[in-house]
Amino acid sequence: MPYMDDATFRQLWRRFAALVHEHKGELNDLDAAIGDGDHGSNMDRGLAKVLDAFDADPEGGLRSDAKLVGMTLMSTVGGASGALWGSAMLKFAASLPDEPEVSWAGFVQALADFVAALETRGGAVVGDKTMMDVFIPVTEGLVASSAEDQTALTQALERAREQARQASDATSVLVAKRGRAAYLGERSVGHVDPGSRSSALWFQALLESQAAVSP
Amino acid sequence: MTIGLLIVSHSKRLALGVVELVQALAGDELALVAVGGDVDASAQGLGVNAAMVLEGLDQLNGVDAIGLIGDVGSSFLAASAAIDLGDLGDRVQIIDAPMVEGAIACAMALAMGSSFSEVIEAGKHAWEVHKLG
Repeated sequence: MPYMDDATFRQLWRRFAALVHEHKGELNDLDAAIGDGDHGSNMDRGLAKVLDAFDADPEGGLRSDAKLVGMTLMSTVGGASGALWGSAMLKFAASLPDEPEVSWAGFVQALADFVAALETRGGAVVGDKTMMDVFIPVTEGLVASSAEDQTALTQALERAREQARQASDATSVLVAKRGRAAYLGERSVGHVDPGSRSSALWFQALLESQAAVSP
Repeated sequence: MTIGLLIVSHSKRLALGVVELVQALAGDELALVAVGGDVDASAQGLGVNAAMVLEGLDQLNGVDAIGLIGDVGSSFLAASAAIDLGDLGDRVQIIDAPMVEGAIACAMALAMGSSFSEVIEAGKHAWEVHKLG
């Protein structure tokens, strides 16, 4: 049965950091169209600090690493992203058992709790042109997916990556209801939400981190 | 009961300006703290995060209750994340008020010795006070 251990969890965040770094300019450009233009730089800076924190604590531990990610993002990433990713990761950590590894079902449950925390904190729903347009449907898809073996899990994660990418693209036609972009109203149509794009990169990292450690 | 006010802005200078104005209008013995992004002091520049809000709340640890007034958007996300993180829900209340007018209204209520709930109401009432007639 597939599971998530600390090495894979760290790999996920290393891959996410690399993807955000690679797409920093694109994320900044998306944000410049409807926000203040720093989403890529902001996330890149915070994720670099996460990797520093991993390096400073080689022992780690799944639950303590999840908490470390939350605290680091909350204190280094400004704006809505830092508060949302940070506080939701703390909820994610609280949802994990204090064990070296968690079953895949346990990981997906923690992810569902992460999404619930995002909903509580930010109040955004599907259609508001935010990261929730990616996280809500893709997490629901993972909850409903079978992951009885590594092949099934990889297929589920490939679907999740595709669904996340499409959901992010689809934010282009939406009118922003949250954050600074909401002040633009109809003028926000035609632009992809940067928070949805970085969220799609997270699901890409989730797939690629599994691939990196699987035999 | 002692009450303090925390002004949370994307800009430290804006928050300090509100504190300066409020102290001039309502008295400089009030417990007032400003937090916000400082382009000269941090790589982040403008913007506010939960850690900054927690530091500000910590500076007010001598008071029994804290009213928090923010500027726009994510200052409230950072504030509510900080309150959760510090488990300060009993002591800290986010006040839904326009930052400048609300801070003045709250501080005037404080200077008159009002209760915490009256201070919060004074801040909310600032939305209703029009500037032209």
